[in-house]
This record gives sequence, structure tokens and C-alpha cells, in this order.
Amino acid sequence: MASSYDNMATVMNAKFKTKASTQQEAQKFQNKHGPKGKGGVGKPAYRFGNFAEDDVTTDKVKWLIDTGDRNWDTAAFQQLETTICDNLSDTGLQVPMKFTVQRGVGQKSKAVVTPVKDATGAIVSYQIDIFCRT
Amino acid sequence: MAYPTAAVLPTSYNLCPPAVGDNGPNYITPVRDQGACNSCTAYAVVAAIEGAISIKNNVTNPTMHLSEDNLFECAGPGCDTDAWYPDEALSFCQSTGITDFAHYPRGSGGCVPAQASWPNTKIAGFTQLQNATDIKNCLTGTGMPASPVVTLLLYYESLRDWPGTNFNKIYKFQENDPHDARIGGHAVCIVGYDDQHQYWICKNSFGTAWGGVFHGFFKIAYGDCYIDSYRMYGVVV
Repeated sequence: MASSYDNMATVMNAKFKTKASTQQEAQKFQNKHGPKGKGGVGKPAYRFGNFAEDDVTTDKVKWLIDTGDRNWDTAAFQQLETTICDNLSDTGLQVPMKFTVQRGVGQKSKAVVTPVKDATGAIVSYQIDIFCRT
Repeated sequence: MAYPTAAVLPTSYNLCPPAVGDNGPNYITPVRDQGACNSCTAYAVVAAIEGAISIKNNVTNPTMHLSEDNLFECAGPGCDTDAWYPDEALSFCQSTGITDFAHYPRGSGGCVPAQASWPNTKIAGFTQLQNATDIKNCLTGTGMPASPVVTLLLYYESLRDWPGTNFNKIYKFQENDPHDARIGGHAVCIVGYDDQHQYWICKNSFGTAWGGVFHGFFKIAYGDCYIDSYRMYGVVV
């Protein structure tokens, strides 16, 4: 299961490396999923995996199967989706996100989202550590 | 062995007409319930094997029941998984084989070694299909032995909760709530198609109480949820 995540972490980290590149991706996100990522008017709501599906070249369906919520710890999954969705929405911070992937830690995948703050306490990026299931 | 070929495939074909309210010979075994375990691959593969045997032997309304638990418990990756692809299950059925449900019922509690006295069913092989035309060829036995088709699809909450309120209903993800959650993957068995209305007929493994009037079967639009473009297999018995 981890292999499709490994590939995507590399792709995502390039896209969300800087504030400017994240703002560019946020615009694409809003075009695909609406300004708040909630869908509507012919646009599907954002679900984890869907925004990245266009970047998958080897096995898009496997990526979408792997990122289905059956495979995830429910609370961690919701936090992950909410963080990404809020960050990339039109009123979001649109700050960089760095993904790491670790393999085989349990029956359900988990993610730990850590806001990285500056000296003033403002969030300047997110560290997102994904722990794939066995 | 030579199989019949056809210049033009029939515009509709159904190995289980009663599933959609039609009359005609039925080569598909009854719908079963996989329960809480993510064992859909075993159920889809067994459904295809049983169907292929029934077609080959020209047995209608078949009652044979091979053991899904034998396949899943002895070859599968465990109950709480979403990653068992059909080729692995089919390979086990080809190399080792499975017994019937009477000898290996539900709830055996882990893999029970096969005994010499048990009947054993092996398949001669399986074929990965490339596209919708291949699926139709397989169902109709055109250029290859006839068989129901094991397939994988993207599985959404809207299919899990699909009501199947009348025989004209065709499941199509894009027409459902855009907030529809993607659960993961799901294996089912394709048993028929209709070109005029652009749908596949599938046997599911959620029991006969699921799917409304279809009692465990469903119609799904061509191309929906990658059902006819990702991993499709016919079996040779």
C-alpha cells in the first residue's frame, strides 16, 4: 500500500514547497473542488486523494483505492482532509505543506498534522506525517 | 480448442436474466453475503468460477457452492484489508484449488488444511481482459471460453447504500451527491450487459436484502467507477 503514497509524497512536496507554489496549487484546487473545496455546480467535493489523482501516472485507481476512507483511522482521516481543504480554500492560509510517508504501522493508516509556527505564533507551514497501514 | 467467433457481438446478454426481472436460462449461483469481512475478492472469484462451470456443463439455476472462506482464509491477506487483487485469488484457485462450502463452511476460524476426502475444484486458468469488448467476448464465449467476469471498481458510499428501487435503475456515481465518500475498492462479478441502455449487470456479495428489487445484483453504467477499465478477469474451467 505504501508505494503509491511514496510516489505522491514526492510529487506533493514539490507542489507545496513554497508559499507561491502552494498559492498556485490552491487555485487549481478551487477550480476543481470549488472555493471552499466543498464542491457544487458540477464540481465534486474534495476528498483526500482526488486532488492528487491527476498527478498519478502509474496506477491512478490503486491510488484512489488506497486513499479510500476504509483504510484509514477515521479521526485522523478527517483531520487530514480538513487541514488540506482549509489550507487550499479561498480563505485559507495557503501555506506550504510537507508530507512524509512511513510504512506498515498498523491495520489502519494514520496521519499526524503538525502546524509549524513562527515567532509570532502564526502558522507558516504544515508538517503532515502519513503512517501507512501494513 | 476453438471457440465460436462472431463478427458482431449481441447488443445485450445476460447470464442471469431473473436478476433484472427477465425470463431466460440462469447460469449464476445465488447471491451470498460476505458479512463484515473485506472478502469481496473471494466472493467475486467464486461467483465467476461457479458461473463458468455452470455454463460449461449447461446447468441452469445452479446450486453448487464452493467455499469462499477456503479461498479467503487460506490465500487472502486477512479480514481487515482492501488490497487483495483478483489475480492472486485466481492463481490460488489454479494452483491449489478450493473445496465446497459443505466441507469448509463459514466461521472455520483460520485456514483449515484441505483433507484428501474433500472435493477440490481447480480452474484451468484465467485471462486478464483489457477493455469492455473483451468483457463482452468473455461473457458470450466469443473467441474464448464463456465466463462471468471478475472486476474491481472504486467503491463509494452511494453504492453501499444503493436502493435499487426499480429494474430501470442504473447506478452511476457521477449522478450522485458530490459529497459521496470514497470507501476504497470493491470486487464484484459481471454477469451481463446492455448496449442500448449502456450498463453492466453485476452480482454483488452483500446478501439478497441489498439492492432493492435486484436482490443482491445491480446495474452500473458503462465506464463508471473504472468497472470496465482497471482489473477484469475471465476464468477457464
